[in-house]
Amino acid sequence: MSKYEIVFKNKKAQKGWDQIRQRDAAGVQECWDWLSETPLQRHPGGKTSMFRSQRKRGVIEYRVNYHDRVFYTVDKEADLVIIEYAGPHPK
Amino acid sequence: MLSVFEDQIVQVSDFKKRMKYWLDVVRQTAPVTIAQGGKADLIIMRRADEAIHAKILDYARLVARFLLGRRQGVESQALPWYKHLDAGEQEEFMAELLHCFSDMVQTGDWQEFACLLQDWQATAESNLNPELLAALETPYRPEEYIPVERPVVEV
Repeated sequence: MSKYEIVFKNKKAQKGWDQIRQRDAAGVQECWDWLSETPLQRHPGGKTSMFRSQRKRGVIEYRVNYHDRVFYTVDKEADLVIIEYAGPHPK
Repeated sequence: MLSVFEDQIVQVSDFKKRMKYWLDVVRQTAPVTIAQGGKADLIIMRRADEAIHAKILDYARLVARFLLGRRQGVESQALPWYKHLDAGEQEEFMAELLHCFSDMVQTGDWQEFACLLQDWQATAESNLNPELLAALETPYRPEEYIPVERPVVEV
């Protein structure tokens, strides 16, 4: 039983996640495991970043691999992780 | 954070006689400076403390280069992603940068400063991704949420 339930915000987020999964299934599984247990912690390998500006505070970035990212927010009261966007990200 | 300026000065002869004692002093309290022939130019300190000093110095150089470039009105080479922050974010970043830098110098906790830079870089780079920005602006509609199952990796 995982600590957090994970949901896509909408179908667009789901589509992005599925596309990453086709490219990097292991990376997506690792991401799911992180989100389901410790979404608010800093990843020891530097895979997570917490957005800082007032406008985007609460958004967390998870680096699945060099090109792909998952951005999510956490509803702490509901123990719910909401995947806002998943897909490639410019560097 | 201990520095060389909080050291104790010991004659080399005394150091030789009571080496274990002085090494314990270094390990448990502060650096020790060795004096020999009228010179006190060698220091023994904890390796971890020196690593902290080196890290802080690196970040101090970075901040100085960043502030100098900003003052000269040239694009930042020190923090190349800074230009992607919008005006409000740049102001927020400056305030946090100076505050966190000051804390780091006081406490020696450079990891918090490293996190600050990493987080603001991610914040800046988010502005390069219009799809992400649009997604973040989309209102929350719990009726549209879709549960995410754990993906299975075929071996």
